[in-house]
Amino acid sequence: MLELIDAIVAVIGKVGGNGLGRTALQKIIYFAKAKGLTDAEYYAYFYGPYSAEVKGTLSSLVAYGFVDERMELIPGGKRIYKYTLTPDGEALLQKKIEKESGEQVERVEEVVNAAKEYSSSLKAEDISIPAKSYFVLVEEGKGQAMKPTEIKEIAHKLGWKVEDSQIEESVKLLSRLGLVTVEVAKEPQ
Amino acid sequence: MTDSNWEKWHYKDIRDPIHGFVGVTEKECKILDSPQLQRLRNIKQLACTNLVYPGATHTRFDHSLGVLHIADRIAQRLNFNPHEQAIVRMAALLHDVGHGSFSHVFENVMKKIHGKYNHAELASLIINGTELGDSLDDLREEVVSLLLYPEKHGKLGYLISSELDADRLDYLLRDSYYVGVEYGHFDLERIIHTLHVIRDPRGTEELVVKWKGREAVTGYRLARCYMHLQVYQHHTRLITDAMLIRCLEKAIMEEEIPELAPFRQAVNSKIFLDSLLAFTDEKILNLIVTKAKGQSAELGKMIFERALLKNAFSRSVDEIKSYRAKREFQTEESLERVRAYICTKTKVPKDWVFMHLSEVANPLYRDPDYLDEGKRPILILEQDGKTPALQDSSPLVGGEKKSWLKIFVFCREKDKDRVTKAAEDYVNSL
Repeated sequence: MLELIDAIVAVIGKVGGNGLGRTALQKIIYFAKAKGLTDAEYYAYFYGPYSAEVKGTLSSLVAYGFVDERMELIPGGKRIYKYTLTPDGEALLQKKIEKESGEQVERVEEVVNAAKEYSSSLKAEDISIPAKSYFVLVEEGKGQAMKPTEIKEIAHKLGWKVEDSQIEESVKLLSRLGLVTVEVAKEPQ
Repeated sequence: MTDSNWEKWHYKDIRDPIHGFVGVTEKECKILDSPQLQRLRNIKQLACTNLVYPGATHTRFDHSLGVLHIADRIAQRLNFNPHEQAIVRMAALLHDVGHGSFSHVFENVMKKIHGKYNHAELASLIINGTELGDSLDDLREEVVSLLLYPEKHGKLGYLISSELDADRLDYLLRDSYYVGVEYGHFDLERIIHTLHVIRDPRGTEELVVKWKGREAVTGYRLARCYMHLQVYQHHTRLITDAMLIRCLEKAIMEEEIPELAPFRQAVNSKIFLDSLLAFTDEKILNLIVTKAKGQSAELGKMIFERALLKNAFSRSVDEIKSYRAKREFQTEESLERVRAYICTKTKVPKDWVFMHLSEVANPLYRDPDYLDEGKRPILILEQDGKTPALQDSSPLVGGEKKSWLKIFVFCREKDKDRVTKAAEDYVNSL
């Protein structure tokens, strides 16, 4: 299992490009945790499962100069933060983390690729839905089989607005990650 | 419209070096006289900072009164109704009642032992579990809710917990005065004068600072930053805190001192709360020095005699060029590896090498993100009605990205040279 700090560096490094938003990072680490690749405590928050540990470690990585934080103003005046690896962060990933835990990093990369396939731009609004669905299934439903409407009801109680169709769509990512299996419920006679 | 009944709000006037006279109501007076509040007279605001700055002997009691005063000034400025005013004053007065001996030091010890500790939660348990609750009568429920969930109480919540709450506005001025430095000063009057309440599109109340107060708030942010750099993160203060933390943790977990055993129980248990309320700074340290046998007694004695540990190694993260070295100094686990290396090389016992990571939690450039942390950034109400965060509005706050992280290794004076060399060798080897 990767230490959280190394898992975050691996996720940001494997997303690459223009950078990864902090909400999407939270959710990808959440999936990585579900796959047993790292560990962090998560609880229900505004945009889905949230970990103060992830937030703290990310801040620390920025302060240490491994990750660059860039603020962008988007229409409506809202601020979003994007994260990319600095040269030190790249060196840490390639010369240390991948050397010592190559197999784990490959599995993290699979999670990142699955998330990208689900939402190519890794938009926070998109990627948070599978995380919410999974949180409801595991934390609230204790792993019991649930219908999309049941997931929706519990999600609403947690303050998350999701629709049946979005939940059904989100199952694609969760299935690809091997986190859920889909059963077709038999109609009552 | 606040209640202008002078007699009611000034049942007694208490002299305060920061704010002049602080008026309290009859009910507040009763609360102040309770053993739970009086106990705060013996809990220093800044733990053992007086070993560095001798004047820093002010207590949580003085500070609680100051917070009440500032909360009241803001409540009056914003035209709170008398009920809101009474609630916010009482919550301000009681906000620190859950603090244990040595304030945040005890909080850190409890976090090490129990994984978490929230003094607001403890305050609510103390209020509900003692005669304090009865004294509050009709205010109790709302005061407890305001302390526990400030974010649910609109403008009142801002005064109790936000980037610009009455707590911070008081402690910077008070700490600065008692410590004897000028860094913590800012224009409180201008800030209060420019505060304003707006409603966001969802109808939630938000406390903002009008554009005219931008410079005053920038000054306040600078004051916080400098106080952290010069006082709160002073290396000798970090040493005394590290010694106290180790001293209390070892005494609670390893010594057979019956009076301290309750601190191993759940933090919300009655036995825990009773013990929390029974101890003050002096009482707990005296007990440890008298009854403990191991390192905790030795550390306690060293604190009493001001025979402090020494700073053997310190390095700002910016000064560390190797990414491997930076990684080794970043997490608790990796710091343990560094400590193990130093101890093996020097033969100094593990318990006498202290690793410490110091971070200024209030750098100028970063405002906490409301949605991310449940905290509220300081918003500036511009002339055009927009409300950007201070960091996007002030010419001074923003952009700058200096790291405020520093790594320290503390040890006994007799081990210092060896520990310094081992720490330097380790960093240079990476």
